[in-house]
Amino acid sequence: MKAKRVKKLDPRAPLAANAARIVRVRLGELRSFAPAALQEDAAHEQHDMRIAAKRLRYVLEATETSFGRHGSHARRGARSLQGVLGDIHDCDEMLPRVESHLAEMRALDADAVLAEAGQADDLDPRLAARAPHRTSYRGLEVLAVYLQARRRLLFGRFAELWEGIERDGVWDRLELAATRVIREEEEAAPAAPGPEGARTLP
Amino acid sequence: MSWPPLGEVRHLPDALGERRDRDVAIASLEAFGADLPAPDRRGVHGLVELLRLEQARANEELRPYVKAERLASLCERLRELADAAERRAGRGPPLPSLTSFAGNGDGSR
Repeated sequence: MKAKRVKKLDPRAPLAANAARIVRVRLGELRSFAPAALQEDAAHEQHDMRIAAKRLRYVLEATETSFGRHGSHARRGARSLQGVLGDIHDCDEMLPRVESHLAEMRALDADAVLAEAGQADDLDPRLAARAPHRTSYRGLEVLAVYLQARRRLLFGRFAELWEGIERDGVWDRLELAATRVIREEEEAAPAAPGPEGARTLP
Repeated sequence: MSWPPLGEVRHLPDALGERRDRDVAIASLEAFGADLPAPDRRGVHGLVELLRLEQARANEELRPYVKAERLASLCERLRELADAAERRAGRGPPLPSLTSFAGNGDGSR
């Protein structure tokens, strides 16, 4: 997911004001993935929300003191989201690999069994019982079951976490704190154009 | 100096991430396999072996990015950028050598 550009960054302005502009954009990106990411099968939106949480977390790790305790609360929230969404993503990555591995083994085994059949009119079931990968299937099927079940459990945790963060006003308070920092900076020093003036950050 | 190090600091975590993804997946599968009854482990071990091959390839891709000279060069360029920013701001004490941070990481993904 490409990061949204941050406008009106000014290298001459205080760090807090620039940080506040970055935080508002990153927070907006994060919240834009709800409610879509709160659908259980919305893997793509959940992945994008994880990236957005990561970006918000990292900018807050460097600048959270500019936003008082609201910065550290939001940073911890972003970190928790990043963690649980990362675990969900691991399941989303591994499950297709397991299924693809199973499919490859089935195809190889079918080739091997067919080769054993030679010129027979029909296939002897005893040949399938000697398929080269016959002992490999069960563990992988159990793994697929585990991954599906774990994803469901983790999704429940994610939904609860998101609901709790919103209910506690963590994002709203960070947004207000960032807006206040920007307003104070604008009131203290009106922006003046210049060669080192405002720029955007990708 | 402007943004040349930006590309480097983007590529480095990408290459590290490719390697780490396999490390994490292998560790997770090995732990899962260890809890299975012995006859069911074979399929999981086969998948782990595939991941180890990918891990070896990721290692090769990572190797040039973590050479000491390249990391030291990146650190120096970042230091120059930070110094230039401090000079523009006209304040702040000199920074410690960034080369001392080479190789450190918090393991976060």
